[in-house]
Formats: sequence, C-alpha cells, structure tokens
Amino acid sequence: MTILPITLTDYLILSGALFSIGVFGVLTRKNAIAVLMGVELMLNAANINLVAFSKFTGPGVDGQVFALFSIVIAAAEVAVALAIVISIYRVTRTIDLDKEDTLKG
Amino acid sequence: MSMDASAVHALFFYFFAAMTIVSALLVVLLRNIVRSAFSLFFTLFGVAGVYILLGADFVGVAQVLIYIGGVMILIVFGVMLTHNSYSVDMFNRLGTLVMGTVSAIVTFTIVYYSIRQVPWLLSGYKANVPTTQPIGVQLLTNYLLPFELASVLLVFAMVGAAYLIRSEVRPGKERAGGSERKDA
Repeated sequence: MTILPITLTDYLILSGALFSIGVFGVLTRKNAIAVLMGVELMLNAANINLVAFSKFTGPGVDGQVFALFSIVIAAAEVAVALAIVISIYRVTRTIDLDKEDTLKG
Repeated sequence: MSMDASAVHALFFYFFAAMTIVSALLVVLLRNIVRSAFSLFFTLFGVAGVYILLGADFVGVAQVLIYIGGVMILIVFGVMLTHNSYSVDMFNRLGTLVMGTVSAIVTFTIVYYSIRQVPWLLSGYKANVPTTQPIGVQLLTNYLLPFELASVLLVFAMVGAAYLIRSEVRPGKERAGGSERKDA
C-alpha cells in the first residue's frame, strides 16, 4: 500500500470538515458557551486555510502573519463574549439561548 | 528517501487530522459541556500539530499559548461560573437538530467539491525553515499598523470585558444612594 503525499487539497478538506462541524455546533446548541466553542472551531478552520495557502503558494510568510492576527482577534472575541454571557447569566440565571429572547436588562 | 519522508508526513497528517476531527465531533455532540470543553483541548492541540506540519512553528506555538493557555482557560471558567446550567439539555428541538445537520452536510459538500474542482496554482512546496525571524520582520515593517491596531484592540477588549462583568449593583439592593457609593 502506498501513501499518497499530502497536498494543499487535503489540508483544505480538513479545514472544510472542521468548519462544517463548527456550523453544526453553532446551529444546534442551546448553551451559549457551547455555541462559542462552535465559533472557535470555525475560526480554527479558517486559520488552517491561511497557513496552508501560505505554505503552498508564493514566497513569504504573509499567510502566517494573517493567522496570528486572527488568533489575536479570536482571543479578544472570546474575552468579550464570555463577559457578555456571564453578565447575562447574572441577570437571568440561565444561559439557555432559547430563553434569551428579550432585550430587557 | 524523499518518498519515505512524504509517507511519514502523510502519517502525521492523518494522525493530527483524525485527532482534530474526532475531538471536534465530540465537542459538538457531547451532552455534558465540561466534557465538550475538555474535548476542545484536543481539537486545538490537533490544529497546532497541523500548523507544525505546515512548517508554521511560530503559529503553532502561538496556538498552544493563546488558545490552549488562554482561550480554553477562559471557556472553562465560563462553564464553571454558569454552573447550574450545564446539566440542562444542551440541544435544541428535533427540527433545529435536523436543520443543523443538513446545513453542515450541505456546507461540507459544497466546500469539498469546490476544492476538488479548482486547479490550484501552486508555486511548489516550500522547505521547512524557521519562521520566527521572517514573521518578526514582517510584523515590524509591512504589518506595523495592523500590529499596533491589534494591541490597541486587545486593550479595548480587556477593558471592555472587565467593564462588562464588574459587580456594580447587587441584585437585592436598589441604587438608592448610588452616586456617592462607589462599588468597593
């Protein structure tokens, strides 16, 4: 049995699968933090794409720099999103997204 | 010799890909959110391994430091601080579950066939070289403005997060003499 060499296509398909799993998590979960985890999966899939294209096309490390910026912004996003989730929890005592259908403080 | 190297590379790729996909499936399928969170650890480690395989050593280390050392700790804290709701049913009604499954499968199918059909213009597989120095040079020359903006954004996000979860008025007490009572 021979093993085919891994090309850009394999990395892109891995990233597409990870993204689809993230879509499933975001669409089906009721818990706000579980939805955040789905968003993290999708962000990681995008980062795999950036790094893979950086590896297989062109000189330079621009794709990796973009992935770094994406990681930084994801960290900021998680900090703010968890702060919002926790302050919602303080008011309503739940993080069930089906019950968070009001804009009342 | 080079065939050997590419076979080893393929084996490592399949190992990390399987680790990433299986643990990602566990993240979205497990009913206990604490187990979901710990499964996300393995997903992030698998992605870090994929970065290393792609020759992006610096991004891989940043992934471990920021995602696993920072983001995951935050998520686990979030799970613990909202603890009475991690035993409730995590999934939506059946209709939503079916719609989510269909959306995910359609997304993956479209992405898969698009990737297969496009003739990628590849300029060859670059050899693995250390990337820390070129990334540092790029960050301080071509990407200097985004670099500074990212640090400003991080400060805003941290201050904003601390502002959002500060304890201002306790639920029982009204804001009777609110102006002179600074929260201590």
